[in-house]
This record gives sequence, C-alpha cells and structure tokens, in this order.
Amino acid sequence: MAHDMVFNSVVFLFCFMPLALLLYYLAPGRSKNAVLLLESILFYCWAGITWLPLIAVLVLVNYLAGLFLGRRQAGGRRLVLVLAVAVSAAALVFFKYTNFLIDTLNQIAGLGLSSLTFLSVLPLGISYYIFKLISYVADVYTRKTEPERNPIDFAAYVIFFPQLIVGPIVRYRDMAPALHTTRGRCTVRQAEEGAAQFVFGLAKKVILADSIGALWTDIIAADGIGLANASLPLAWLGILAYSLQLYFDFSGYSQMSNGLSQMMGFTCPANFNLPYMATSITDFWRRWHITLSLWFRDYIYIPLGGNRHGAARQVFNMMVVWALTGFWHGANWNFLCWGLYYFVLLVIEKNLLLKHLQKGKVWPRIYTLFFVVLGWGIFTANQPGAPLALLVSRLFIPQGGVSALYFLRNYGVLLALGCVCSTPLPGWLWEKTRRALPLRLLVFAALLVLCVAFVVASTGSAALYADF
Amino acid sequence: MEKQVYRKAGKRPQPRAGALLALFILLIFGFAVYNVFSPKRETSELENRRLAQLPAPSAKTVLNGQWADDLATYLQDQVAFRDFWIDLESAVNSLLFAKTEESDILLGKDGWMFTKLFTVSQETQTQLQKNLDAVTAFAARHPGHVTFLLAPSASVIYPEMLPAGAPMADEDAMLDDIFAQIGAAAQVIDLRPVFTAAKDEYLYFKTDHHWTPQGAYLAYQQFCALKGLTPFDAAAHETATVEDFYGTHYSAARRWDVQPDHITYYPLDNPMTVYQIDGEAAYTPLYTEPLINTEKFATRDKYAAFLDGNNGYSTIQGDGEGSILVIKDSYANSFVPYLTANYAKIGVVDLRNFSYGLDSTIEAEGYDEVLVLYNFQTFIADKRVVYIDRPTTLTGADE
Repeated sequence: MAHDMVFNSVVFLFCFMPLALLLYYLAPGRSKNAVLLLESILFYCWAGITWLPLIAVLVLVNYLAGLFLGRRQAGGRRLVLVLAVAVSAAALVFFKYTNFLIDTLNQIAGLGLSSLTFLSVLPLGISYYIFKLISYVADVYTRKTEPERNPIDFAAYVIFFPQLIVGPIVRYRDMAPALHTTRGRCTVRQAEEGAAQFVFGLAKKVILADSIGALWTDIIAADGIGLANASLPLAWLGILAYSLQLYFDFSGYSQMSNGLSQMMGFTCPANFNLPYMATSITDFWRRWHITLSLWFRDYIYIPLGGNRHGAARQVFNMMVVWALTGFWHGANWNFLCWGLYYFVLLVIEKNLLLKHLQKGKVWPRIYTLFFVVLGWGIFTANQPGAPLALLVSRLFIPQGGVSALYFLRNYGVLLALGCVCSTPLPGWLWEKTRRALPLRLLVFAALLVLCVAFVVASTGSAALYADF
Repeated sequence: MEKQVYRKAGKRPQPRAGALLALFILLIFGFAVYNVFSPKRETSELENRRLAQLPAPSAKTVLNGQWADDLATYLQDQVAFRDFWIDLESAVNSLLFAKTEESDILLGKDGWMFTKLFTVSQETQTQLQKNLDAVTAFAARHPGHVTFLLAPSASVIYPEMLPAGAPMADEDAMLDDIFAQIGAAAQVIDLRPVFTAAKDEYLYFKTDHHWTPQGAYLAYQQFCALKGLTPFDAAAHETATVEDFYGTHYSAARRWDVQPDHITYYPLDNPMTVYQIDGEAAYTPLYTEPLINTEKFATRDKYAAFLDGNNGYSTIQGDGEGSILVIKDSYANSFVPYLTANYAKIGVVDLRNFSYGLDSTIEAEGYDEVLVLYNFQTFIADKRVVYIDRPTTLTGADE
C-alpha cells in the first residue's frame, strides 16, 4: 500500500516543500491560488488518485450550495443548507463508520455481514476537510461570510495541503482575506514566523514525540514486555509517555501546518496552547485541539441551543457534543467512552468544582493532569496491547512486574525534556533570544539540523492524528 | 541570498527580520539543491544493505501511488550525507538524551552492544516449540548420531555489561527447557558453565551478534570432549588477526564511542566445495575454494569470510577420519574450520538456503555424525529450522 506524504520526510522537506513554496512565491498574485490548488491536489493524490473524485464532488456540492446560500433573497435556503450538510456528513459517516456499524450489527444481531475492504483505509484528511466544508456552508447560511465565487479559490481552501493530514480545522472566513489578497500576500516577517513555527513543530514531532512514544511501544507492542508484566510505576511511566507523545505528535504536526500556512501568507489560529498547563478540565479543552473544540461549539452546541434553554437541555447538548467529539476521533467504542468521560467531568466541574478550582494553585493542575492522563488510557484502549481493564488494574493495584528502572534510565532525559517543553519555558526563552540574534540563529540552525538527522535516521512515522 | 532578503526586511520597523528566514531558506533550499546532485550509492556498506534506486515512473505506478512511495524511499535512502545524519542522531541520543539503546541494540558498558530481547512473543514461542519438535523428531530417527549445540547470547554470559536494569527475557530458563526437551533424543552441549568460567577471554564480539573464533574454539573443545576426539592443536598453528571489525550491532546502533573488534583466526586453507542444489540430495559443484575467504576480511562484513558466508550446501575436505554433517546458522561458520582436524569430510547445510529434508542427504552422502549448531536467537525464531524434519520426497510417498 502506498503511503501519504508526511511533513517529517525527506521527500517533503527537501523536494515537495521547497518546490511548492518556490512556485507559489514565483506565481503572480492572481494565479497563486491556482498554483496552490495544483500543489494541494498533487499532495492529496500522492498515495494514489482513488479518492480524488470524492473530494472533487464534495468541493463542487458545497461550492454550489455556498453560491445559493449567499443569495440575498432566496427561498429554500434552509433546505439547501440541510442538504449540503447531509451530503458532507453522509460521506464522513460512510467512509469512517461503515465497517464499525457492520461489526456492531454483526455482534448484536449476528448477521455475519462482511466488512468492506475498500474502506479499510480512511480517505486522506476526510475528518478535517468535511468539518471545514460544514463550517463554510453554515457560515454562509448565517451570513457570517460571503460565499466564495471563484471555484479555484474555494477548492484551494478545502484541499489546502498544509491542513490535509491533521487539520487544523480553519474556517473559510479566517482564510478568505489572505486568499483574496493578490499583492503582498505574505510578508517577510510572516514567512519568518512561519519558518520558525514549522521547525519547532518538526522538532516536537521527530525529536520528542517519536522518541518518547517508544516507551509506550516497549510496553504494549507485540514484541514489547506486555502491559500485563508492567509494575505499577512502569504502567504510570508508560501512560505518561503516551500522553506526552500524543501532545507533541499532534501539536507538533499542527504547528508545522500553521508554519507552512504562514509561510504562504495565511495566519491560522494556534491549535494548542500548552494544554498540560491547564488548571481545570474546562480549561484543558480550551487549550487542546482548539479548532475542533471551537467547531463543535459553533456548529453543534450553539445550534442545539447551547445554554439558552435551561440546565437540563444544556446538559443534554453537552452530552451530544462530547459523544460526537469522542466518535470523531475514531470508529470505536473506547472513543465514545472517552468523549462521555469528558462529558461527565465537565458537568461535574460546571456545577460543583469550578469555583473551588479557581481558588487552588497547585492541586487544580494535578487534578487536571490526573484525569487527562487517565483519559488517554481510555483513548488508547482500542490498541491490541492496552485493554482498559488491564491498564486500570496495573495503574491502581500495586503489584510486581517489570521495574521502571531501566525505562527511567533510558527515557529519563527525554521525559524530563518533554515535561519542560509542556510548560511556557521554551517559548519564553525563545522570546528572550530576540535580543541576541546570533544566538537565535544558532539555536534555530542547530534545531533544524537535528531534526533532519532524526528524520533521516527514522523510518518515517506518520502522524497519530492522521487516522482520526 | 541573505543580503537580498535583508534589504526587503529593511522596510519594516524591526530591522532584523529576515535573518532567520534567510537561514531557513539557505538550509532547506541549499540542501535540497545539493541533494539533487550529490552522489548516489548502490549499497550502504555501513548499514550492510542495498539502497533504493530512482524508480522509473509508469502511468499505473504514478496513479496508484507506488511510484511516489518508491520515490520517497529512494530520497530517504540516497539523501546526501546519510551516514553523517544517522551518526549524528545516534550521538545525540546517547550524549544529549543519555539513551542506553539505539535501533533495538542495547548500549552496554565498556563498548558492549547486545540485541534488545525483552520479551519472547507468543508467535516466537510457538515457532520455538515447532523447531524443538522438529529437531527432536529428527534426532530420534538417528539415535546416537546427533549432537545439539546451542550457543547462548552474549548477554547471558556478560549480564553485568548490560545497561542497568535492562529487563531481558529469561534466556536462562528457556535454555534449560530447550536442552531438557532435545536432550531426550540427542546429546546436547550447554556452553553456559564453560563460557561463564572463561568470560575473561574474548568470547563474543562487542560490535557484532556473533561469537569470536575463540568463543567457537571453546565450544569446539566441549564438542571434542563429548565425542572423545583430540582437539585441533591450537599451539601448533599460527594465528592471523584482522583489525577494525565493525559488526552488525554497530551497523544498527552506530554507537559514537564504538570500540572496534578484531578477528583472530587460524588461516586454514582446506578446500571447500560449494554446491548448487538441484533437488533433494542432488547437487552440482559450483566452485572450490579455501574454507576461509580472506578477501571478505577487506570488506565491512568480515565475519562472512568464514565458510564464505551462508551457503545452502557445501563440503569441506578435512584431515581426520569419518564424516560429519553440520546443520547450522552463521555461528557455525567460525566453528567448522576446527573440525578439519577430526573428520575427513565435513558437510555443511544452512537451512535458510536449503529446502529439503536431510535424511536422504545423510544416507546418500553417508554421513556418520550430525551436529546441529545454532545460537539461541536464531534458533527460537528461524522459520526454516523445521526443514530438518521435512519428510523425504524421493520415495514419492509424500508431496
């Protein structure tokens, strides 16, 4: 099977990216979006053209729907909105959940249906661009934005290659201004900021995430020591390492994406804001995968009525949002449980805990981290080596097993570095270097060289969040 | 390039914008351009493997993504300064991140490197049981003729050289079990007591997964003691030494503070004939050469000099009496030369390049003795050990 092109690969870093940027910069203002679209289509079709018709149809349907919804006075706007959203949602459900539904039906009713093998690989980026499409038609419907009249510009927004693999889910109205700028779309300062973001993201992914993640793999992989053999401290070390890996993998990839966008003149909102520094679960979800949380708030929670129809209705709305958030992460029950776990935590916080949390200084952070890390245990429970019951028993029932000593010795420095990089300290230090340009350049060059070494030495791991 | 960008940035209030961008462009674009023209290689000696070559596109492979995939692999393999990048990554991991392993190799004390074997998977355990059953069944058909010699891993003899606390799989217990099972049908040689007593000698390479010719000699002495043979007289022979051996562990881990090994061996030149295998018990001689191919000492893969690598079937003319068939992995390659002192004919079969049962060969070639010689790590996982017990196809009774 062919692989998608990941940012942390030689082919992307030293072929696709330089060529794509060069062509994009050389292209005259009016044709920049066409160049961008072609590059994005090439990126999208890198692993084969199988899914090109799918995205083409979705782009066309939503483009036309946008034009219709943008008209001043038109009957049937609501119907068109519903139809457009239904088409997008149906595509997502079909490609992402059909086999899960078949499995579930088989288990419940014993139907013995065979799963669809052509759906065994998720079409690239479908979870992300479907959400972009829905946000677009909804925003046009509510008159928050004008519809995009140029089909090339619209397609360039949807298939925008920096956001294909793991988002972030950036709304059309946030990208439209730059998309329509024909002169001076990107400034040197912007491109420079983008380059720095890109390199930091790359470092997070290839130096921290992949190296730290190996600890968890050492435990749960088929040739690992086995979670059932892990002692209590090792189980905690493992799930901690997985938590760090997930954060650096996803935030690193998002940062690379935003860096690329910025180099091309699009300033996109940050997708992560030091989530492990959160002082409550509520706060955590304002800092983790921000674009997704905002999407669910704006396009599910608020349309359902938000908090405007009484406490009971609000709780119901929250449940819907968190069940969907869970399922969005994958077609499996553990993801639904993970979503509902946050629903329960957030309801408790809202009604009881939040006022106490605001008074504390240290314990709210510990409380938040504890439940977030435990949440990742639920999140990863669909992996073969990590069933939840086993993990919970290993985490909470003191028992013998393989000691954490070796793993602390082998991964200790990386884990410590991971913890430090989860705090504002590196960002603060980087700001400080603004006054010492040579040092700034040295750090930057060293980091980039190091990233290349790790990219070349690794066998090229995909982004964890690409499958969601 | 730097100047140009700097001037552009000069329009901005903060005059220093642009330097970082210029550096980024210089590094990424500069390297990208250099990478196109940098020399490309067929193989990587250091990694001991063939490198991907530029794939030729076709309409089909371009559209189904295969070409893109191959291109990505090609670029990864042929990236400029590849060896430097990998060395840098390994050095940073050890020096900066204080890691004690790299690419599934444990970086032990005093330059030692070991295969990371923390667990024996269910799949491997199943395979091991198949292998044990096959060897036992084979030995039971040749009662009194089969000797089973299994070399322990270096980590069993030198556990104190492992990184602190490394949770290695319990190889000792597994060896006990293996010897108990096969001991029911064949004579077994358990080297652990002798090797442990002689651990001050140079028994295993630090940078390679093999034992040294000295380790092999100690094992050979045990074999002679068991068989009542007079061992090859080491004192009567001169040794030769090959310096700067960087073995497979080094190729994988690229340890920055590597201590190269050396190979000290007896330059025997008994003729070895390598055969082409035409069918079951049907061989055509391909070529005859000395049993140590000294040319390979000049390459990176120096251990392959012994028996000229892993040939499917070869015979060696010895200086003793009778004949022996050695069924083996590469551990035997440095062991077999000593057998020339005791046997007139030594047959060597490597089942990884030999697809037939052995009963017919033993009968046709008239071997008196059989020695099964593996190291622990190959033996537990190799899927072709079971060929040892493959029924003959010559009678036509079996498919």
